[in-house]
Amino acid sequence: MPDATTGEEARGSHEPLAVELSGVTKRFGDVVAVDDITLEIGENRFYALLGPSGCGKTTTLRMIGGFEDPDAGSIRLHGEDVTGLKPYQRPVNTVFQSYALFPHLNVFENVAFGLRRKKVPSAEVTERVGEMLDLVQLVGMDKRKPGQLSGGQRQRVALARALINHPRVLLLDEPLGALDLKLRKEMQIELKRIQNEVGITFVHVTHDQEEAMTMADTIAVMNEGRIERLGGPTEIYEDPRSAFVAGFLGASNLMQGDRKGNAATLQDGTTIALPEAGAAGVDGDIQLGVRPEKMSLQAPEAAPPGANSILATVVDVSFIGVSTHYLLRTSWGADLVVVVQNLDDERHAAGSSVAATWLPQHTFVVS
Amino acid sequence: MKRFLDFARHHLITVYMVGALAYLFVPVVVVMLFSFNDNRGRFNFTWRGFTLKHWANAFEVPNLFDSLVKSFQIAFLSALVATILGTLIALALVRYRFKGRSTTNFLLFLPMATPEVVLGSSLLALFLTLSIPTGFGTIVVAHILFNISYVVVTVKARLSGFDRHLEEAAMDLYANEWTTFVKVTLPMILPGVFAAFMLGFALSFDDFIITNFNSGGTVTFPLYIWGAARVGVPPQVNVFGTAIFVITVSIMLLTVTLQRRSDANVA
Ligand SMILES: Nc1ncnc2c1ncn2[C@@H]1O[C@H](COP(=O)(O)OP(=O)(O)OP(=O)(O)O)[C@@H](O)[C@H]1O
Ligand SMILES: [Mg+2]
Repeated sequence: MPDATTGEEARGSHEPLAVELSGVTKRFGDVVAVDDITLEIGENRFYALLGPSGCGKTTTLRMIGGFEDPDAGSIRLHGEDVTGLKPYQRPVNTVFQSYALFPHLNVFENVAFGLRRKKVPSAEVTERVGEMLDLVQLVGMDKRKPGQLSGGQRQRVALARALINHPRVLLLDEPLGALDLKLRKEMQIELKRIQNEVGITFVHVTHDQEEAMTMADTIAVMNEGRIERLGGPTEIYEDPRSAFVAGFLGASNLMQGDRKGNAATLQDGTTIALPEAGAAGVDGDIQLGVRPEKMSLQAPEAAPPGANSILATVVDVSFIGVSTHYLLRTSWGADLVVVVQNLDDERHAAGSSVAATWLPQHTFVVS
Repeated sequence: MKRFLDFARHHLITVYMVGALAYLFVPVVVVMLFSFNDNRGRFNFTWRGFTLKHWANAFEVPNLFDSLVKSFQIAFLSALVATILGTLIALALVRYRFKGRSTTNFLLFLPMATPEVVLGSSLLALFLTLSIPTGFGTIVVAHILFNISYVVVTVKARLSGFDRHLEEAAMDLYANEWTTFVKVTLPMILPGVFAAFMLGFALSFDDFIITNFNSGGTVTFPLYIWGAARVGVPPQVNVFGTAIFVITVSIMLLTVTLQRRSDANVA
């Protein structure tokens, strides 16, 4: 299996990308569901489209699958322009959110549907369906109707039904949305395993940031029909670049500051060092952020040198077992959340004064 | 006390149910019973003893069997055509937003709301104006007309619960529009389509008023009985009535049993 950098290399050597959207726009009446999106997805990627409800994820996916025609822009699959082609003319397959299994056909016939349409000889159909049911761990279920399967089993049938056709890109619209938490976690690992095994590009739509982070190697965070941030999970978590992305990918502490070069001054005059990398930017009013787990708490006089530090008062302490969550209030009245691992029993009681400290490289600047 | 109330409640329901069923089925039982009546003269209204002779001579009354066959032919033809046209109309109405969609919906409702006398007489007027001779053909046309409305209503009900993603899934799996219809849409709505056909068949089979206006020289089963009633209905009418009833009920029971068995198989 090629490693994760293949997509980038492919681009260098002019090998076609798995999926390319350029300037794609889709309107429904007055609603602009997808607004001038340009996307490049490499081969063998696990690509997540992440965003809140109604941001246009499904619409984007449906345009790749051929269920909606874009109002503007073009869609290419492996270098071939497929804009305007019917779904059955595209080398992609879809796992629908509701699974959309054919209720009148049994598991075998559901999985065999695509092969039958392609007039694959029946002996080969039997063999390939068997292999596929093995891959998704549904051996022995072939005679059942979809109505007699559990949610997780249905999900696997939907996956097998799509994968058996050897699509070059698999589209998944919230495939785990209907499952309970435990099953969802299991299926996340399962999907990842299958993607590794079959080695094709998965485009996975989800509004669950944790799911996107666990599974995807590239995440496109969407908001109001546009892509706000694109990158690997760590990259976009550590440097979200916008308040929306910072908030969508977990909790963060945002503060107003006045920037001068590599440092910013907070309202109470504290100076915060900004990270060396990505420090380029205009001076003036900025918002800077720190993730709660990147901060630690000390007595005000014990702040380590070289670290960023803010003085604050502890307002609330909640003990969660593995960690303790502190709610702090700064002198200018802003709230900060700090999550501290319970490594030692140094506790800070509500009402005490503390210094919240963190390393400069853990600071990010948002627009 | 509570027990007693519960008992009374159950009892009441049982009595009520038996009463309701009796009310529904006494006429049917009477029809069946009098097919075995050894009647005297032309009338068949008083019980004179048991006989099988009417069953043995079922086909001997002139024109009775012919009218029955005519009715079957008309019912089959009109139900078939109405089912095909009505299903397509229902698909169009549910699936597409087109100009005149709500008007079409309304117009389809009209034949159901119009009194049959009005429908029958205006059809006759139409046929006369166009100087189309009335007969077998005009009866079929008239029956298709009112059947379509019922088919559309029945199939629409089935379609409204239909998950559009199923068709998209089929198209995603390389089925073109026609294959999608044959392999997914049609099998899914088939129970509705079949019900619509049966309904159309039944409505056509026992229609009297509209048929009477547009029949010309053609005599259907209801028209035959109507004609015969004035001079005395032959017991063979009861024989055929009984036979039709028994066959219908048997088919229904068979369907239910088969359905049960296939459900049990997959469980
Ligand atoms: N067929 C349609 N007709 C009209 N508006 C639509 C249609 N499909 C989507 N929209 C609108 O387009 C916007 C984007 O919808 P989309 O389904 O792509 O969102 P989503 O990101 O998938 O959201 P969710 O997470 O809730 O599934 C929404 O405002 C939605 O109301
Ligand atoms: Mg969606």
